[in-house]
Amino acid sequence: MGQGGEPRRPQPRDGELGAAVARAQDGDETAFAVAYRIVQPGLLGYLRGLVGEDAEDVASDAWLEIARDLGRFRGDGAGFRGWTATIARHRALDHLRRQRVRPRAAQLEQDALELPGRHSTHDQALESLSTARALELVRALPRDQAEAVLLRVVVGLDGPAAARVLGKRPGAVRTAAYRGLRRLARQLGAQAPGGDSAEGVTDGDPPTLGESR
Amino acid sequence: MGERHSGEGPPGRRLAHPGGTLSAPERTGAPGAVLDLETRFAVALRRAEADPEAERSAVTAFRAARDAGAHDARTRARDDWRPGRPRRAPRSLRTTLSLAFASLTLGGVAVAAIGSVGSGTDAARDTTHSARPSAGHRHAPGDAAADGAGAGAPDTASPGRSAHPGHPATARDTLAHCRAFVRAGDRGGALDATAWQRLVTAAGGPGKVTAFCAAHMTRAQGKDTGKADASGKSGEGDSSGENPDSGNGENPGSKHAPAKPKQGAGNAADTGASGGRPTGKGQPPAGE
Repeated sequence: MGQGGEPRRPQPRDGELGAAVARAQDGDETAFAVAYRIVQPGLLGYLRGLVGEDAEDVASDAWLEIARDLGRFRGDGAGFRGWTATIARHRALDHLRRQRVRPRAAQLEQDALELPGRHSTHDQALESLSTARALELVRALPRDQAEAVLLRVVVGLDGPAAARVLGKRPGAVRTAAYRGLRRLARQLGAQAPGGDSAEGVTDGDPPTLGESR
Repeated sequence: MGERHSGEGPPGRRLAHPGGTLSAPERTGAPGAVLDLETRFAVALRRAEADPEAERSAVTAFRAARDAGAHDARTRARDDWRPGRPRRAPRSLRTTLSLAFASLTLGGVAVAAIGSVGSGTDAARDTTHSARPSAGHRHAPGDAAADGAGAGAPDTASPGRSAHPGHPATARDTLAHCRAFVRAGDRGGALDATAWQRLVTAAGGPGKVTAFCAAHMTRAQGKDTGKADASGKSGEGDSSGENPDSGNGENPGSKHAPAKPKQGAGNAADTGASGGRPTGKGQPPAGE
């Protein structure tokens, strides 16, 4: 499981993204739209993990700031992901501060108990982890783990970039991502049907939370 | 970890692209399972139907900012994501404290160095000042001891002192401090505190400084006259010393050192003034 510490491979569209950003900085609004389409899914996924259903609103706030400050940005496509994630994170934290809402799902315990029953079909559990379910699991993580996982997995940042976004040391972020992923894996394993996991965690998988059997 | 399925495929596809579709989770060992897990979460969480309205408003904001000239704004540190540049990771508390302590220490050393360098230069200047005229002032080598407690005798110790590189630094410092002390008597104790402390330490007490200095300077003078015969540089001074009217500091200075006529003249007067002081005050054991 040492893979948690490896830098992520570059995102496939980083070259295209970098070129689009450069053109947008020269004033090309079509290129800006291209950059938007490349970045927005990851950004939105990250924000959903942070602020839940308000993610769209926070994202459009973030994009206003990105559009305004685009001239200040220096860097390539991967850098643009990090820069935009930083802006989005600040907007999200502002939002949370206003709301005084913790990003953790309060319902976690009950949901986790119900899940094996609800998501027991092969399709749901294995082939397509539903967006709602994935969000639920990620938001159940401690905040630092959830953010580290989201930045690396969903936004696609490498370790140092994620650390810069979070304002932490790379080692701390690496550890948080590793722990978060391990926890997610356990929870998915607890619900995975088929094979020896179908019957639940009877074969040595330690219970992730106290309540999951 | 929990991805324990009954399949038997090799752990091959652990480098699956996050954006790629994944028909079924790979039957892999633990590392592959983690990457597979990442892929599944990436797919699940990046899944979003495009919102044309949101994109439009972003592009509108872009256009407005561009037309308002906002894109000419200066790049701040947080906007610079160029890959080659070292990323500024926040420092740990320990690192911050260490850096703060180090800078305080270095700052203190620097301030201390300013003090010592300053007094050093002063001392050197004093030496050169008094050195020139007294070179002209000096009598024949043998006369120095004979003059003993006479006016100007202690000061003749200085000629060319700073020009001898082999002279131990501490002795030279002490000499310079003594000279400064002697001069400071005129001006009401303007001696630098550090220099004064050193002088007191060297003399063994504040009350003994006068005597100590007189003795020290006399000793230095003795040494110097010994050297003066041998060294060519002091020979120059001697030649002016041989001048008939060596009793008058001004004339030889302006005559034999044309490059620095003013300094020679001014310092000659100075030398006379300060030379008389210690004898008047303390009656140093000049014969020593």
